[in-house]
Amino acid sequence: MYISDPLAVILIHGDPSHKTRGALYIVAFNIFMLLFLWAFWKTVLSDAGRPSEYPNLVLTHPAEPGVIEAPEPFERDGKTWLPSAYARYCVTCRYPKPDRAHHCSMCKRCVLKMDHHCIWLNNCVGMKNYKFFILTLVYGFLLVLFVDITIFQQLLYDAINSQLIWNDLQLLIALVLSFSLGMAAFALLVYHIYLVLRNQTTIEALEASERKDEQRRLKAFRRREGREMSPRPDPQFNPYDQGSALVNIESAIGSNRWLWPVPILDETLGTGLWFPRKKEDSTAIV
Amino acid sequence: MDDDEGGAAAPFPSTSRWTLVKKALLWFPVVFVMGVLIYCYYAYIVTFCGKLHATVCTSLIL
Repeated sequence: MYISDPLAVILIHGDPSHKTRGALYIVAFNIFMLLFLWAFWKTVLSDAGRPSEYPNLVLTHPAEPGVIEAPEPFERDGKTWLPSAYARYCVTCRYPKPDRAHHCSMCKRCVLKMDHHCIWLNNCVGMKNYKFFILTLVYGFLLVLFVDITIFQQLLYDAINSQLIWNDLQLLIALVLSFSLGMAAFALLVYHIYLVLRNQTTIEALEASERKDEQRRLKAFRRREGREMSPRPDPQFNPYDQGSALVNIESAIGSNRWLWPVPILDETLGTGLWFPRKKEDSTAIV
Repeated sequence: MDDDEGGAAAPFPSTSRWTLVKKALLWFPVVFVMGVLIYCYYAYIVTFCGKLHATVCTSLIL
């Protein structure tokens, strides 16, 4: 059979049933699978972090909320005084709610630096398991990519050589299932890489998007009335963006780079109670 | 209303049982992902092990 495509030549003539190649596939597959399972179960079983872990929290707030950069937290009279953009309090947990913490209605508790509640993990993704979540997506995507490429290669080889057997149907089902999960993992991974680079959580990104929509509606309303809208601050302003992608990555998954690919909590990550904020550019006209 | 509250407004006679069912249902997506993984693992390993086995057997016979 004449094949003109060089890729097809590699795929077809590289017989995946060769014992060395097969053994390598199985070893690589098991490594990817173990890394994925490790990260996945760490995310499922880890507590994302809750404010009540820190007793005697007192929230203070600067004179001009959201504008003046808050000082670092300090301890006095056995209490932790926590500067916050706004002195927030969770009425359900009856406990102070630090910046970036939110109450999860599914978990029924406040979560530090809450990103979102993931139904696929049956857990909240927050301060202390965000890194595991990212690694779950990374290893999940790599696993699926590896599985799909090798299965496709096998199926193509068997089809060309008329060697399709019952096992190949199982492979086809595995290919479809893993491809579906892999695409979802890939889309989520790309979005979360974008968020990590901006030091933003999913909730904050959604809130910014809502603010933008609200401002757009208000602008349209004013235009219909024939009035100009007064200058307003940027609705997508992110006070936690440190300006450097590397610093933003370190504040999301820790500064110890040796631990980045490993699903182990980096102690340099901090408590999740306080985050440095930059000044809002109040002169920005949107 | 809290899940563990009883009384006439409770959706089921035994609220604690309903809470248990709800908690079990919340684990369904996790179990689904694990199920897909186990199936892929089985399909992948069985196929390649099967091929490997066949190759090794053929080379031994020949």
